[in-house]
Amino acid sequence: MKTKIKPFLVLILICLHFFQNKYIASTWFSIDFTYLIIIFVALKSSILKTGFTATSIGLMNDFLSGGILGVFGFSRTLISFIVKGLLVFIDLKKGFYVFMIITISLSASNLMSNFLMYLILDYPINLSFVLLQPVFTGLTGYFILKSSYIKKQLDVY
Amino acid sequence: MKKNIFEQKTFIVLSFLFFNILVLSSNIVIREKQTLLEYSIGSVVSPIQTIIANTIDFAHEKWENYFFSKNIYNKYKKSKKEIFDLKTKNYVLKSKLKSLEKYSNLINIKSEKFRLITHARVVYLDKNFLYSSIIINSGTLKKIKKNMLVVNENFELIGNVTDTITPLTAKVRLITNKNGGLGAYVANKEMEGFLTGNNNKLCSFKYLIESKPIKIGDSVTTSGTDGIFPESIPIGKVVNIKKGYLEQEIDVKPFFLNRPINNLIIIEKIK
Repeated sequence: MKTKIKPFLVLILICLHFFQNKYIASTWFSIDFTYLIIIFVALKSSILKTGFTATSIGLMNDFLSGGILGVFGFSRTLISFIVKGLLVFIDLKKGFYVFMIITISLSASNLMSNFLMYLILDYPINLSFVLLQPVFTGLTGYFILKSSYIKKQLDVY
Repeated sequence: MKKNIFEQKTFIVLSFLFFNILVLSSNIVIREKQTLLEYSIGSVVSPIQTIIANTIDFAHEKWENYFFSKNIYNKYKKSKKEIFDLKTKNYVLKSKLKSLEKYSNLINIKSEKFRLITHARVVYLDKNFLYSSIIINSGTLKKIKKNMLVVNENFELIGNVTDTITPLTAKVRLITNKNGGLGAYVANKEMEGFLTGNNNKLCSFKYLIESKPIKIGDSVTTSGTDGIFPESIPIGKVVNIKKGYLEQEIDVKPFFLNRPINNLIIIEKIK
């Protein structure tokens, strides 16, 4: 059975993303709420929707980060397809696997983006972006998916 | 049937990846020129950003108002705005006076070097790329144009507006961004050079003549020779000097990094 992600969940995650970047001063603590949108869409939607969501969110991140348009678009899209393929083999009822898939995939995507930014714009590799942000995002995704209401919406039992 | 579905999925995956590679490779060539795609993304994202930022600011204001006595809080807000406006006017008048003193024997001189456009606030700052750019809540509706300058409350240089301007927001390239650069003087015009960012908290002058005496703590200001930034806007202080055989490299820490970037002033150089 195909389930639709409630639009309000997407809106809340986007609001949290903008709120965090404007009002939380810490440079080492950050959560990529928009990446969680990609994961939730990849969980139960078709490959076309996954690709479209990942590309749109990637291009939005490109616009916001001030880098070259297409860097995040490419890395998020590629990783979203890989994650979609892997999700078939993973038991989503176990929180540990959810945490690991979000953390590892986001770390790979961020590493790819940061490396492209380094090659094109000579940006230094940011360790908190590549290592810490995926961990915090993974934990957030784990706790969101623990909620029985969200599990019901995403048909994850 | 299975082969068809697999081929279809492969086609979709490759199409999306090809589109992203196309966007990426075209933007590597174009760099900072605004494309229709970027403008479209900005037009969709900036209203959401502005609404969220304004909503949170409004809620924050109401929350603070609840704890402060209403009259005292309103008076405080009014006085703060007045001080901010007076500081702005003071700086404009000071620079007018300076030009008039310097060129008092000339006639038909332009006494204003720059013109105030509007005030703005930061709407988005990517914490993962801190020294790259910021997004402000003023766009074409407030007559923002490319290359307008952005300074903070103390008139310390932050950066300039780049091509990515939408009706509600604009992108500001910080002086710490490696893609930019500006002409600047060190230590009361002892030396002039081209100051560039390094994508970190320091900017640097490169290939300066070694014989000129510069010391740590000397102030750095804009020279006005690059045609974009007007003269005498404070940038930062010298924090490090690396001397070579014939040349020296100077690291400068921008003043704006010492305080939170919040209330900004957009100014335009008068030609």
